[in-house]
Amino acid sequence: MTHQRLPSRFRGNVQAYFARHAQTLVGSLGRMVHQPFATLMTMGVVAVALALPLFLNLLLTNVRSATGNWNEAFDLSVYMDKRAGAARSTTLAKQLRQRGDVAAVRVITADQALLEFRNESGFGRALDALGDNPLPDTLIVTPTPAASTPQGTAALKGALAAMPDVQSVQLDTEWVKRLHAMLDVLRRVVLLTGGLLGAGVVLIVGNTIRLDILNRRAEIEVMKLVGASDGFARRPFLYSGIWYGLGGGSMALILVGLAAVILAKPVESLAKLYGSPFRLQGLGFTTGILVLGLAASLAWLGSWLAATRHIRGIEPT
Amino acid sequence: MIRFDQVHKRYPNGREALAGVSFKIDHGELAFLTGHSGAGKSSILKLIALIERPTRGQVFINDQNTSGIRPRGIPQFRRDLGVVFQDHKLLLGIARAVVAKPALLIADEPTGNLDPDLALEIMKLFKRFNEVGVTVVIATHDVHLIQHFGARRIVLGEGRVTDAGQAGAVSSP
Repeated sequence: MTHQRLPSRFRGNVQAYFARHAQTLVGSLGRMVHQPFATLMTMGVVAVALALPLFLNLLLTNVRSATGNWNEAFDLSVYMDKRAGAARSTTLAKQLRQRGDVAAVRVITADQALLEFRNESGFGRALDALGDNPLPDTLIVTPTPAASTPQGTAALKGALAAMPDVQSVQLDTEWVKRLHAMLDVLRRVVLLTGGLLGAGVVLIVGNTIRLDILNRRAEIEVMKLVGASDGFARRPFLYSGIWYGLGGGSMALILVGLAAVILAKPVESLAKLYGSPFRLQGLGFTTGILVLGLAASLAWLGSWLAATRHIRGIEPT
Repeated sequence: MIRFDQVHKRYPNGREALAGVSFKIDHGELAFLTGHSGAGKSSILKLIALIERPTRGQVFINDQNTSGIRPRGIPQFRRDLGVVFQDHKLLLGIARAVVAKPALLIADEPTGNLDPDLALEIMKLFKRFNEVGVTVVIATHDVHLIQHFGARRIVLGEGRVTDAGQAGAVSSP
């Protein structure tokens, strides 16, 4: 008899526990819906606090994805000895194309380089005054993807520099290194900003919940008078916090999504000017879920801190 | 059911609300706490509901010394108690008492702001609780209501029991 009763009683308790939680969850949402302006204001502040680091992170991710393979797509400029002549440059280019670590070789003769420089620099008359063409033949060597590692390109550079009639080899990765260093700094700025604004979300929601608790002080006193524990009295405020987080997080996603849509065309046009098919990538589904989870967690933390502290101090009088 | 043993209560502002109060209320009794304002009626109810703790002396509820109840245990203790206070808490307290069927029901001036007819109805409700075995303790200064129900009367004055009525009460010295 007792064995039969225990599971059903346990099941009943569990059902009652979840029913109470569901009731509080819906009840806290209903209470917020009845104060739409105040609720939207709080959610709006949470949304702005979340949207800023989220948007910076979106930009950073896009810049990294646009420049991520630049390190690997570097050409080496091989400057030939001026005395070698154009025939030697062509021969060396053929020779280099046979190498396993070279994907392509383009020859820019001294005459082509001069013509290009004359057209683009605006120093045509000055160049005429020089008499001789000061520019050497240049081979633009593109390494294979397998040889595009820092070690691979360094080895290729060494091999090219050791070849006869090669005056110098240039592998200009410094500016990319600088760009990536700047992106690293920016990433840390995003993390710091995100951390600070995340703390801001905790404080904003905490303060809102604190005011809510003060407004409902009499209600909490009565609850405690009839035997409500601190945890029971705290529960609706925790759910309110979660709703604030979810609402603010959703609004932040919408804001960042709108910003991405607004920027997509100009970014695409800019990329086209550089001959790149790059397109601005928006936030993915997983990121959206993570943002909502993070927002709800931060808001829950804020409401927990406020509710725990202030409800403990309220006793029936 | 309820036993106060030389209970003193002094509030932080220095006011001494109870000065050595002793009395006993048995299980199933209906008792009125009466006396002028500030006599200590509400303080006794607050001590029973663990809203306040005695400065000295001991309070026993169901043979349990309330000084042994830790703050964490107070919610559970109150769940077994029916509490009816004034104003907006009145109806809530009554409703909860109907649902929870507590063994002990305490009420502080439950008819204070009510018209005489409604006050009488509320008191009849308490009487009905008592008839089904609930111990009922009501703090009131409404002498007419007390006389109407003819129940035990514990009279307080200046923080002391001046008349403990019948049923095993012990007057304060």
